[in-house]
Amino acid sequence: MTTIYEVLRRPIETEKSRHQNAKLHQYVFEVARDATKVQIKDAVQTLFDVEVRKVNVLVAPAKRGRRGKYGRRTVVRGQEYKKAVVTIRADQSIDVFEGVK
Amino acid sequence: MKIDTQPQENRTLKLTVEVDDERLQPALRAAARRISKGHRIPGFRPGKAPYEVVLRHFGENTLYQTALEDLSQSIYKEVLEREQIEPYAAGELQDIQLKPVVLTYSVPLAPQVELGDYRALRVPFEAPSVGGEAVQEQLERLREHQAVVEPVGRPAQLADVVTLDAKAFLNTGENPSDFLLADQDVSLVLDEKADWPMPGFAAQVVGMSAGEERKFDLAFADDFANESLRGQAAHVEVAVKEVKARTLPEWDDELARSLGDYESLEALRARVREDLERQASRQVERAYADQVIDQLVGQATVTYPPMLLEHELDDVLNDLDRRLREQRLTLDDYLKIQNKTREQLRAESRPVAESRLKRSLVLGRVVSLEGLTVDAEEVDERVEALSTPWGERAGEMRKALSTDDSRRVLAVELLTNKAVERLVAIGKGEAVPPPAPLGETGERPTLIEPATAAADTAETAAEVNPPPAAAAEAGPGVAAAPAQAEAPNQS
Repeated sequence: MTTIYEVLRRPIETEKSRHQNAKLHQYVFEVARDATKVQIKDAVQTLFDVEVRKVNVLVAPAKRGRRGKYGRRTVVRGQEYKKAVVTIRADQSIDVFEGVK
Repeated sequence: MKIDTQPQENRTLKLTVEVDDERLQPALRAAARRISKGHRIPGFRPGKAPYEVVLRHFGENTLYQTALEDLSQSIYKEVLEREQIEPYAAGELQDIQLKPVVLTYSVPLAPQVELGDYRALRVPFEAPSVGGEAVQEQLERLREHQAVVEPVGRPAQLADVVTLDAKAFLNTGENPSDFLLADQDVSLVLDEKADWPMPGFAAQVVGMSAGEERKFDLAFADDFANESLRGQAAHVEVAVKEVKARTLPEWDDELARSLGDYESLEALRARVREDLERQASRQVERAYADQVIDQLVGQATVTYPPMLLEHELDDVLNDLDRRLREQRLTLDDYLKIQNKTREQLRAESRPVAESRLKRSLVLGRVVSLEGLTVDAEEVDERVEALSTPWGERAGEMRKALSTDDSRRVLAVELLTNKAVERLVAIGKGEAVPPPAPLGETGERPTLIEPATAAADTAETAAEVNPPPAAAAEAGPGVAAAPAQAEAPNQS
């Protein structure tokens, strides 16, 4: 991890994240596995030009599923990833889809 | 909304509409909602994805397409109303341009039929005549049916009925392809002209008596119907089992009485002549009507939108399909047999459809020019006339014919018949009532309102119900009762 440009992987867009955008001034990103809260804060502040109030991080557990309908059932394992919920100042916003400024 | 109309030849109107943004946006939003309902977008429950997400996920094209499916319909209706265009059939969306959204429709207009001076149309009419020979022929045929067939001991003569076993083959008869026939106990009328089983067969059998066997060779003529047999020699073996003589009864009043309810030979003869005359005059009348209509169509100028012809083509092909279905064939089978593609068949049917369409347009024009109408009673009569011959099932038939749809069909049919009749009268130069005061041109025939038709259904339904007494007698088999009720109608 050398630069802030490697911290944020992608914005996460779901019904829940939409709600957080609109009501809680929170934006959700998938971040690098070894990113810290401070790094994330720096990255968001520089890239989107907003003031970050709070960063919460969590590691989303890998999803397990089973493949194969008959005979041998193999367990497949998804990848776990780190997710960051970034709260920014109430009067600012990030247009997630316009990309990095 | 910018609307531009351009009349084209062939009675079509080109309609170009530029759709405003304020019309478009709501439609796009609605489309996005619809799309998101039908598809899974990761992260959202179906129907919950916001507009931008749907747009990004499915692209602009899909969104516009879905939006325009509905929008193009409602805009079409709106524009027709605003521009006061009366389409004759369903319009067609021809072209869609995006940004700005421009829709191009083609609208078929009512066909224009210029009959010319149809009242001056005269076609020479030849009344049919039935000669004495035709009557005599028909009488002979009746007499043949009455012939008495009796076994006789003498050798067979022409006009006898012979029962025989016959075997025939080509060449030596060893190959299966050489096989011609092997029949047992066939009855054959010996007739020189008959070509079954093969020409000249009867002449060979003449002179054989019962129990006799004969072998002979016959050559097929060079102009025989079946090409593969032409010029071939057939070997025939015949065993005669029985010879019967056919005696034709003498012409007398007795015979006439036995043929039916005739008092004398004279009555029979008169009846036969009458039948033949009726047949001939019906034929001639029909041919004459055709001739008159053809002439009228020939002198009329008919312009119609091409779409109408396509519809008529569909009709023609559907008719064909229905006829095939009656013979337990499908259109696809038929195409295979004829070795044609659907497109070829369609192209070939085009002239037929065209003449059919022209004919019906011309007749429709005659109806409106002459002010011909059909009222509910006439349709009632027709229903009655059509259902009565069904005897026991007349009730069912009447019910089937009394639906709004079939009543409409019958009304159109009656109207067409009237138009044809009127044309025939004009063609013969008979006096006809003056044409009705001109209504709107190109008007389609007015039909009976559904209300009267519905009332009528109720009436007939009441008619079909069996009287209580009959129903009680019939017990569980009530189905038989309506038949009894119908019985007086059967004569």
